[in-house]
Amino acid sequence: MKAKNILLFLLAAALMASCEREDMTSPVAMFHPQTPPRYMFKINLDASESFPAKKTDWLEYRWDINGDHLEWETEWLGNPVVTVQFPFVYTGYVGLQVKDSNGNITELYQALYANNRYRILDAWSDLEIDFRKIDYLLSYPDRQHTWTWAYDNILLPDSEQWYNYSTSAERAEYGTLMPWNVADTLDKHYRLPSKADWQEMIDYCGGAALAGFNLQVRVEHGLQLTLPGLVTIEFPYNKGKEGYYWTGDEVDEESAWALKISADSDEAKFVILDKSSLASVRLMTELFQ
Amino acid sequence: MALMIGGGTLWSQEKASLLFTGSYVHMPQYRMHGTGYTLSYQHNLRSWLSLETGGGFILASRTIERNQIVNNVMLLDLNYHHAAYNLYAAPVLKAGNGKAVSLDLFAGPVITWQSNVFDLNHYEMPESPGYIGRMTDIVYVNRVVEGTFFGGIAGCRVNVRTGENWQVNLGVSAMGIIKAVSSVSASIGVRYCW
Repeated sequence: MKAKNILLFLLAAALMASCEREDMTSPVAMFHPQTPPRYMFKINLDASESFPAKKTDWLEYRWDINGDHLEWETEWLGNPVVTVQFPFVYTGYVGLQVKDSNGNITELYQALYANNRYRILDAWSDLEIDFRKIDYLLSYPDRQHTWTWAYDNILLPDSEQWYNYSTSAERAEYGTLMPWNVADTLDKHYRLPSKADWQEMIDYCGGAALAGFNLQVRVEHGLQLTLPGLVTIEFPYNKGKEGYYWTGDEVDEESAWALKISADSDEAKFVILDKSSLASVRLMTELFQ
Repeated sequence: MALMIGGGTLWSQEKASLLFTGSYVHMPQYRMHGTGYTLSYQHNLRSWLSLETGGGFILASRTIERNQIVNNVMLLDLNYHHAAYNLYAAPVLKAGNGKAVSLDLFAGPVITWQSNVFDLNHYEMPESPGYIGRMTDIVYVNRVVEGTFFGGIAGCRVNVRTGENWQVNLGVSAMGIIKAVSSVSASIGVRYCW
């Protein structure tokens, strides 16, 4: 081997060894549920706090929703927020991978705990036909809050003043559709939820964008609101498609606020109804200790 | 002078030598630093040509100090670690063989087993609401490059005779490894000749 070749090889080796490379860093991965998770409720998992190593870079996200480490339940997504039905009764791990434009990945698994402190009992009320109630037991640093909601739509005996469905199965599911003035004076111990009460329930159910779904979802700890429709003239319309639930808040002498949910939307919203309309009723009360 | 001339004649008849070197090693790709040790055997074929084979190991590391809070996240230091065992063989061109000061130029193939761990990220998560639980608040991401790799080594060394059978030498070399960590090094060593 000639000295010239050796020198060339030496130079090539030195060049290869001295190729400058950027420090390798992967993104910072973080996520949190936007609202406290509850079994089978829809929640938004938000990874927008994640950030890449370089400010100008961008990230993609994919999720292992059931935490089984086997498959990613989503493709790589550009949106850091994903809406899922929380799959764990009490607790479980949810995984997130974030990837920067260079393909560097950071993976994060976090346990999410569902608060399911509730009990379902028969309610004691002045009504002829009993209903069940659900007590949500909420703990705060300085107090205990027992938040009680009717677990069934209120059902009244037949009368011309309100509307009852013809079959017993429908009555059990939908309850009575009644005017606001009747709904507002049903019982001494249980009241018609105010708009603020309903809003608190909407917040409990993940916010307005998801509460429409979560108020309907068939899980024991949910209110399981049904979709009895609305009576404005004589017969109900949109049965099985929409549900209207009176609030205790009047708009004026003629109209009052109601909560509207529907089968084809996750959203819950307030609408104004004529007080003479016949809508559904859930009652509530609460106790602070 | 006579001693030098006579000694030079005698030294040029040496058949082989054993070399032990210690080196300062730098990996420019990852900016790691460390030390290496090599033991090699050199067999003289001609007065200007030898064959050399040797082996050694290298340990190197690097810490990227961060300790800063970005977006409520404490970014912790990143560490790189490198460990390698190398075997090489190379023809050596010798200049000034048999003299008090001589020069070796060598180049040849290398086989190496390397274990490299590069921290990609290391950070401490901020406090979270009670409905989020973590096994640990520290997130640690690294990349491991480990296995047997091939490459080449080339270098030169200056030998200074210090006794009838002994030399000390200073050298520089570069080792390029395909798909793993390459390095440059500066070395000092002793050689026993016979």
